[in-house]
Amino acid sequence: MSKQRLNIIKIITMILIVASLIISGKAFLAHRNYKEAVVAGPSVTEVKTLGDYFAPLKGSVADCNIYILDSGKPGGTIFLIGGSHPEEPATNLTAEIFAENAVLKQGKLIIAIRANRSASTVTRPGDAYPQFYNIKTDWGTKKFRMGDRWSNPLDSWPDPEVYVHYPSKQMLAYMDIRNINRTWPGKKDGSITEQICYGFMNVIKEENVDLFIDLHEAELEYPVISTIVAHESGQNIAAMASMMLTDMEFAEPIGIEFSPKSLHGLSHREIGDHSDAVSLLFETPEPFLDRVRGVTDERLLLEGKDPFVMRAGKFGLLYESIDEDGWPIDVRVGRHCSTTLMVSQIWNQTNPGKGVIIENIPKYADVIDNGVGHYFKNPDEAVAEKVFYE
Amino acid sequence: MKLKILLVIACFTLILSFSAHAADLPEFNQPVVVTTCGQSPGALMVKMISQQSNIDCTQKDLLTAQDLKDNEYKTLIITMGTSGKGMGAAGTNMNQEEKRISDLIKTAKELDIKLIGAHVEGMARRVDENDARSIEIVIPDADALLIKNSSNEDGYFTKKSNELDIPVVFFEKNMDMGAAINEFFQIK
Ligand SMILES: [Zn+2]
Repeated sequence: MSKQRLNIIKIITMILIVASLIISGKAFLAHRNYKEAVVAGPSVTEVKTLGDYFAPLKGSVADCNIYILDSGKPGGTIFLIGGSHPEEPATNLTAEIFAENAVLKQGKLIIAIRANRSASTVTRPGDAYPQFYNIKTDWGTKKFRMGDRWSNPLDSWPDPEVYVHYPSKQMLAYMDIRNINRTWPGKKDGSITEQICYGFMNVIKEENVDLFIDLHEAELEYPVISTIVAHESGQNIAAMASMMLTDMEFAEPIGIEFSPKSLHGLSHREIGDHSDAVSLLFETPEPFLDRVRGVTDERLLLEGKDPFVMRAGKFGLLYESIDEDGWPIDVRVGRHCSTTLMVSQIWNQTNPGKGVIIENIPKYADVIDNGVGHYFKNPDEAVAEKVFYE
Repeated sequence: MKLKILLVIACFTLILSFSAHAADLPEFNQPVVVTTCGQSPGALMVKMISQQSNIDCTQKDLLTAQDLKDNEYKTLIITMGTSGKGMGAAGTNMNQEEKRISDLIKTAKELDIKLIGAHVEGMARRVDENDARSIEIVIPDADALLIKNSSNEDGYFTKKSNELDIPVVFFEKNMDMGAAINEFFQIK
């Protein structure tokens, strides 16, 4: 090959690389800066941000909104967070339904829709994750950022060789220093993810939270699925809720698991141990997360149908059943809505004087009948002061 | 009207389902202690439902043979089915659980405490080897079984109860569990 031809090939290769860098860079930037509009619901009395509770986070990528729904009638306080792991869409969608619709009749409800904002600004391109997903509503399509399990490496880099959890000193996998459900109860001068948890602990203490609920989704290959994971202090509520929901509402049962005492960094363990709040974590099935899945696209994310995951089920490799109907987003969000409502009802029965009465939230069957999108308000029709961005 | 008919049918089915094998049931007495073979929350569920039915029931997930000697329990309920998270929470494992439960069963026999084996959490607790092991540890020595229908989807417990000639009370919904437990204690 002549030297001239070689140079031409080199130049073309370079142009191709630079072009793909520009195209993908633009896509990454657009994703990171995309804002989801939320219309604050009728009971939202105040919208703070995490930075109001821990100043170093103010204005940072981690500064998520904290919606406060105060009935004005004395009672208890429930704190509901979605988006701990932004690759689990049923969690932020459920939290958003509560923020846009809930009517509080007693007590206070606090909501974070994008608990780990940083992790919602990055996906897993190497795993072919879509960047966005779209939910049909009554007034058009609403677009959401897909995210990852871990905070964005742009915000937290480099990872340590071994992540030593604070304050237990337990050694965990290096990347879990960016996993919000391994960094509870947080660290004031720690990594950004540890600081996020530190900020949330401040919310819990300053707002006197009685009951904390952390929403999640899991792969069907994982044994902790379709369940309520409970700190000791929440075992009775969780057991009663799981029995009632399995009997009365859900097509597939929901179980309960006890939070291991020696597994550190998880919300159901550390919040119960380091605050006065009862701590629960809910799981729904998300076939998108299964490693044996096929095409990894928005359809799988929202419809939850996958022939390979089904095949794994036939071989007895799964901890939850799956058939041709899959696990659609409406079913998953419906389960989170009903579980939250049931837990709050049982809380009210067992904690007189500390009631949190939540109305105007769809139950499991309602979400399946009407679709998730039916419960989102049109930001273009709302007054500007009511619209907040995630 | 439709609802009423449904209710009547439901009640009728319930009565039928409880009485299926009840005739063969030996006599069980209170107070009751419930534990789990494998640290799943089944024992917690049994306790909560029993207490709602006014049965004198204590839950001790790590109940020991010594506890049986130190107290006046008349009936021991052991729930079957395991939880990895639960064993982690309790700081135990399947080998230790097997030892603990075997000791319990032996002591219960010595003290003439009756044993009910219970599987109340459905197929979700019949997934892996540990689940199967926990069932095999408990069933052979049980005086009776309390089984949720959804735990018996494959007919396993029906087969076992016939094979080992152990009476069994099945129930459909969690909220029917109270009535099912009452069967054991002859409470109507
Ligand atoms: Zn998660």
